[in-house]
Amino acid sequence: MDPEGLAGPAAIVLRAALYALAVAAIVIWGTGETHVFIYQGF
Amino acid sequence: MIGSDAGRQAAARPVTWMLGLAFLVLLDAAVTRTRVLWGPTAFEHTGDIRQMTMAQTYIAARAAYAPSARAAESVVLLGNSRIWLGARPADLDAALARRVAGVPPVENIGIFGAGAGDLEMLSRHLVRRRARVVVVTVGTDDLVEAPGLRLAGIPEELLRIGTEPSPAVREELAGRLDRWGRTVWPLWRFRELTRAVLADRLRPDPTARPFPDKVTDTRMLFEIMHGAAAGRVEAAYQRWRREPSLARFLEYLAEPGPAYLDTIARRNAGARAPAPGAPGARAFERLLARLAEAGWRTVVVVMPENPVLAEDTDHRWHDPARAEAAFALIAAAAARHDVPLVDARRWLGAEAFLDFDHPLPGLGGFHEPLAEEVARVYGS
Repeated sequence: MDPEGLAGPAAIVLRAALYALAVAAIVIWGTGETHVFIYQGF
Repeated sequence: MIGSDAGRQAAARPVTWMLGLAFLVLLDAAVTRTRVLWGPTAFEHTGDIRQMTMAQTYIAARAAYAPSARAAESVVLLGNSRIWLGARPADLDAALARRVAGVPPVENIGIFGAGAGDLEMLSRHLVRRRARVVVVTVGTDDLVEAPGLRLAGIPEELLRIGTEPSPAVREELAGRLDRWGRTVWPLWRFRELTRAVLADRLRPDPTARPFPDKVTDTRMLFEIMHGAAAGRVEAAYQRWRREPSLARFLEYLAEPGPAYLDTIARRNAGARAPAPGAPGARAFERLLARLAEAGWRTVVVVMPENPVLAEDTDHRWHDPARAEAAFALIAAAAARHDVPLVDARRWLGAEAFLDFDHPLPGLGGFHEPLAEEVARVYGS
């Protein structure tokens, strides 16, 4: 098998996994701020 | 590999992005459809009042997305702090068990501060599951907006989904885009709850404790609420019990600090009687309509009012005319949707209240007549 052919799919899978993790991390930690309740007698 | 030629080529290929999207869908499901998000947390038992609304919203979302095995037979209580405090599940479970056999544990998903707009938004999620009976609890001020009173707050923001905006909010473009995003993308929908839960799983709050099943006396409750000030609050409470007047009750309410009475006075001064077609009325109407469309057996309970307010003749703390107008509106909406209405406004004496609004958990005895009404609907 061509070594480049092996490296290609592995690179694609790794890149794709990193992209997915990065998007999830940005969504959760970047925009998932805590909503603080200001006490006003409930 | 990422820095290699093969890696750079991979970055430019559409198949990489398609695969990344597929991974994101899998990751999304692994978080939002599993115990990663919905398993037990310390966060949900936070004692920090600032976090409680978010924690209770999380519990309500869990009731919709990770219901118990016996959800279809269960009793679900919707409302705000009045029902959260007034009908603790252990008390109501015991009271119900004396009337109906085999009812699974009551799900009290009241959320502090929730108004009609918050409940309407929550109902968009809840109708995906089943329940035997849903009790919609409402106070006569839950349909109005005023300083310290919001029709829609944190629960509506966290749970915003659907093709139509909430009747209770004026939505800008950013809000609309957020609602659409939350509707189609679960991880976006639950991003705030996911962050709070993941942070809790990494570093649980060591001070978080579940609210006790049984509140045995007011001193115990004041220790939870007021910590070191519990002793003097209890003393003021007992002075009021020995001399039950509005003046003594106000002294007791002011003992922990001025925040509560300031809020009530501002709320009362700023609130206007709700009108048919106003945002609060429309949100309540939509809530009942959605529950009816989903085939949920619903009962509306108008929550108890503290009779000590009868001494408030200059209407500084409450407005009986506003309360009557709201009650008429609630009753008319219930009648339109063929939902039974329980008027609990006169159920309790002043000694059953923690303050102007809230029945004392357990000690107030609200769970007993409530169990009677729930049993009636449950068995029908």
